[in-house]
Amino acid sequence: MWSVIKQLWNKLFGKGTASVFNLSVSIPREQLLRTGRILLVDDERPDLIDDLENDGFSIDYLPDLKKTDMNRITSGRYDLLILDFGAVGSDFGDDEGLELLRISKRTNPAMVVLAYTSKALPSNLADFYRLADNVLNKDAGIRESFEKIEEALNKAKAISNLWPAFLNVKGVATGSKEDYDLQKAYMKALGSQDDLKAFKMLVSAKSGKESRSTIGDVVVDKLIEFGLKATIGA
Amino acid sequence: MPSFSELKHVSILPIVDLDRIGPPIDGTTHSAPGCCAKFYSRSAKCYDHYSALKASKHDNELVQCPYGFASYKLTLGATTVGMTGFVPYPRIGGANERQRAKDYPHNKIVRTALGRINTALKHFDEKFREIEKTLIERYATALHEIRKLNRVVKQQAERICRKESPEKPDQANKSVVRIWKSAELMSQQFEIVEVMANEELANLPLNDTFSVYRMFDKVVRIYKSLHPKRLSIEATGLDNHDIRACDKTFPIIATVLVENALRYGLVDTMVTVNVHSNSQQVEVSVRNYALSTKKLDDSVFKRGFRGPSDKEGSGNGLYVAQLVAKQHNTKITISTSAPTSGKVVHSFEVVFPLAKRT
Repeated sequence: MWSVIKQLWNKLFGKGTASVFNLSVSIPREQLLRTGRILLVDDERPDLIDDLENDGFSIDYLPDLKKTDMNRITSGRYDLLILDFGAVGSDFGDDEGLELLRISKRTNPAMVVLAYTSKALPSNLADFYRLADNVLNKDAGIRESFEKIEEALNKAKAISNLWPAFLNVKGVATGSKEDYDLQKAYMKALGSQDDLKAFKMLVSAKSGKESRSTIGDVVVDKLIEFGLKATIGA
Repeated sequence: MPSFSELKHVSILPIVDLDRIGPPIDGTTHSAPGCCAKFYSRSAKCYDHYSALKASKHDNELVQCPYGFASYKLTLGATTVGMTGFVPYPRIGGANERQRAKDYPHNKIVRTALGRINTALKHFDEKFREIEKTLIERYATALHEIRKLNRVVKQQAERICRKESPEKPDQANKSVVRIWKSAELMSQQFEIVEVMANEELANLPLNDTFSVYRMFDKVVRIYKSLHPKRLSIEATGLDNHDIRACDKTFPIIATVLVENALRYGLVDTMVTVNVHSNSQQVEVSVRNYALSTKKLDDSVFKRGFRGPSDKEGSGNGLYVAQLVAKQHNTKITISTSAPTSGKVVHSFEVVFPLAKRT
């Protein structure tokens, strides 16, 4: 296996490209549904949850996210949060779902969020759609909802989501020299166990914001898991 | 914003709709001179005068009509009107004007009064907009409850169809499919109202990759369940129809273009959708047949525009669709064919740049 990875690594460096964005993983639907963890937050439990469960999705439901529930977000347990706007988030101020979205994105940037509301939001709350990764209309059809959710789970597990999240928790600017060096170290880490250890040490030394060290570890684990399964994309 | 049909009730002076030119309509205190209707039907001079007024770049600039009355253009939001049928003081000059002043002494207006008339109309326009905005916001809030009920209907109908025909739910019991698709249409309409209530949504980033063909095909399928013999869609050119798009708003373009083409097309005539892709872009055209030989122009994209048709409509669909097109860095254009056997083909076209492949 290591030789295959090494071959891929050589191929990448042979072209003079160390970009992690050349890596891709194709996850079979069954595996995606089994391993993708979803949290749906809505003050009224939608029937869609039953449809999703019957189809094999792993989904948890909460009527609201209270301060005491926030460890569910910060622990990195979920790949996808489906978040309602109205009548949620009262523990965090008056902006309802928008404030929950801000906090979720700040504390777990690797988690994909689908804005889930049927309310016509006024201009000052349009950030609810802007900050979310995508929108899942509450009155979307069942098949359409499945497609959106699968797409969101795939996105959550893609390098295009994981790498910026990793940079975010480590406090590294996108496109900076440090970003480039980390990409190089990551690609190298996929080539041998020793390099992998070295990469882990490098990133753990760079702890980022202390309060986010747990999520930092989770993101690094996901990155490594991703990298070891990856093939080079077109 | 007020359309001509509202403005004609509050205009003090005789008024002409410059988007649909005709003889002047009486103002509230100054009637349209009796000779105007006569002159208008006698030759094209009056029509040409109002057309030139519409094309003028300046509002409030007094122009003399061929028969000696004064006119000026006034733009209120999306509505362009001509105030006309009066003789100003100080005069513009000429024998025709002197004669009209003698014939219609009640229609002599001091120029300084024109400013006050315009101010009053602009004030009316502003208040009208405020009220309209408040109404739309309240309407949108009320829609939330209806939307919840619609969700139950739509999803329940889909469940029944999926249970009956898991592989092809679209081909389940026709009545249930009809309920399902009608509820889907209602969802699409709610999206339009939402953008009306909050135009900021048409500034959201293009956060997703969409297949233009799939989107139009989906909308066509929905409408086909209600108008089985009136719609066709075809894809030509290359297979790639992927563009960067906003998942919240992009479907509105397809919904509005298909819905309008069906609504305003001649009964029992086809609406055809073509999605053509080349290496650079995806071009969409939606065509229908119409009786009117009158060319459609960009006025149809104005907020509250109502075309020369007896069909019901909010007059906002194309306005919202054009906002969404702009969000996607493009523009919806229209063209009308030359008439054949009393029919014309209206074609709405929009071109999207292909998404860059990474």
